[in-house]
Order: sequence, then structure tokens, then C-alpha cells
Amino acid sequence: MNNASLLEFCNWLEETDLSQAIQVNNWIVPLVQILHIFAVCAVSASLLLVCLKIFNRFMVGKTLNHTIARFEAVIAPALVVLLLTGTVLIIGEPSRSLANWVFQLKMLLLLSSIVFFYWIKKISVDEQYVDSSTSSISIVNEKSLAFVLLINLILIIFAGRWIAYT
Amino acid sequence: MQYLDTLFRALHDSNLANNVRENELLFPWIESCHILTVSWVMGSIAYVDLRILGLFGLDENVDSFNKNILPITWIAFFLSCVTGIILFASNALNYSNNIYFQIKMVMLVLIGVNMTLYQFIFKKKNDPLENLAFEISHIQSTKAFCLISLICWLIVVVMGRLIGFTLELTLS
Repeated sequence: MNNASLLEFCNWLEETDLSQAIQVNNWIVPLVQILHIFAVCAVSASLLLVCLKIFNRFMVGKTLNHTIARFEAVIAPALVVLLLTGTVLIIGEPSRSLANWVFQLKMLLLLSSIVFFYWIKKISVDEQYVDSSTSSISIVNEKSLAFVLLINLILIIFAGRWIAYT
Repeated sequence: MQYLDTLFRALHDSNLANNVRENELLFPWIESCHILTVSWVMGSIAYVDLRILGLFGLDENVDSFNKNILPITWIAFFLSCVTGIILFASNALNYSNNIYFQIKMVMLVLIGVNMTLYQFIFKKKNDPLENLAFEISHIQSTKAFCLISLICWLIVVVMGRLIGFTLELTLS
């Protein structure tokens, strides 16, 4: 979708009844943003803890598979909340989000983070069935992926704030 | 109150505050760091509180889980305080008059009092000779402290967001 058609889509979305309702009711955006922030806190802290586990700085005595399962139970529903609340915020102010390059970058980083997280999870599950002599290779992979995931997480939160300034 | 006004005025007029106000990019960068570290504080505290309340990770040992997670919380809390103070200094007079900011600060004080009281009671009751009734009341009071902590932190985050909707910007 090129810029002109994207702006056209944003203008159309902005004129819909749902978007108008969100814009007219002053309490909807703050309320939805607060729910969005709670979900951000849940995902952000959970991913940090999973990354720290991979770097042997958290839950040292537990397996990675156990730690991921523990926090995935929070991350997965929080991602659904992020999707729902994010959609409401986009419908309310489509031009501010969809047409903004920082927002587009944020979405790209978010998608790649989900891929990295489930990649780490797959490695940790596979590791259970691999003997210890070959597992050092996957540990290197896990650490590299965790590092990229942590950087992605920081960039996502920065991008979320910078949408308001661009 | 006059001392506070003088302090806020001094903070507002400080070189650091002037630099943040004058540099268009500095405020968003510091604000982003603040949000990142607050999200880590809120998330990690919630895990500690939910574990003690019996709503998360029931097969984890409470003490070892807390020992693992609390250093991370403290580092994130320290960083969020540093960035928060810089943000406050940049617009100290308006922040101090903002009702949501005031509620946020009251909540942070309450969290501190709650934590101190908990430490005090925990130390008083951590006696090997304590009887079963004492043990049960200890568990219940610990849960009550955690519930208060969780509610206060949720309010801190809500107020933090509402400040952004209500603060008047001061440009130098």
C-alpha cells in the first residue's frame, strides 16, 4: 500500500461511526491506553525475565523450558489485550498511527519479537530431547536471540512513546 | 509548603531542567527510559505480589522467587526514580500542581510505608517459637500487604498516564 492510498484509508477510517464514537467520548482513549500500558508492563517484564534466565541471571536452578512456560501464560493473553486495545487506539486516531513511520517500525519490531520468542521456545523444547554434548550450540543461539529480543523490546517501548512526537 | 515551593522553583531553574526544556529530543528520550523502567518495576512487583497472593507460579518457592526477582525490581526502580526526577525537574512547577502527579506521589509514599511496615511486622513475627495462630496471621498480613502494594502500583501507572493528558507544557 503506497502513501496516498494509506492516507486515503486513514481518512476513510477516521470518518467511520466507530472512529467518531471513540473521538467524541473523551474517556475512551485514556481508558484504553491505560489497559494497553498494563499489558505492555506484563509483556515487558516477562520478556526481560525470560532473557535474564537465558543469561543465567534469573531462576538459575530451573530449566529454560519451565521458565518460558511460566511466563508464556502471561505473555500470550497480554498480547491479545495489546492487539485489542491497540486496534481501538488505531481506529480512534488512524492518521496518527498507521501513517506514522515510527508506528510501522514498532509493528515490525513487535512481529519480529514474537517470532524470536517462539524461536527461543522451540529451541528450549528441542533441548529437552538433545544430549548435553550438542546443547552448547543451542545455548549460543538462545543467548543471541535473547539479546536481540531484549533490544527489540526496548526499541518497541521507545517507539511507542515516540509515536506521540513524530 | 513554602519550602517545597522554593525547592520546586530551584529544581525548575536548575541547569539540568533548562537543558531538558531547551533540547527538543532530550525529554522524549528520558521519558522513554522512564516508561521502560517503570514497566519493568510494575511487571516484576506484580509477579512478586501475585506469587505471595497465590495467583501465580504456585509451584515456585516464594523466598527463592522473590530473591531472584527483587534485585531486578530495585535496579529498575532506581533507574525509574532517576529519570522521573529529571522529568519532574524540567517542569517542576506544573507537575507539583497537577492532581494526578500528587496522587502518584502519595501512592509511592504509601508503597514505601507499606513495605517498611511489612519488614517490621515480618521481623517481629519471624520467631521460631511462634505458634500456628501466629503463623496464619502472618500469612494473612503478608497477603494484605501485597494486595495493598499491587493496588498502589496500579494506581501509580494510571496516574502516570493521566498526567500526560492534563499537564500544561512549559516552554523555556
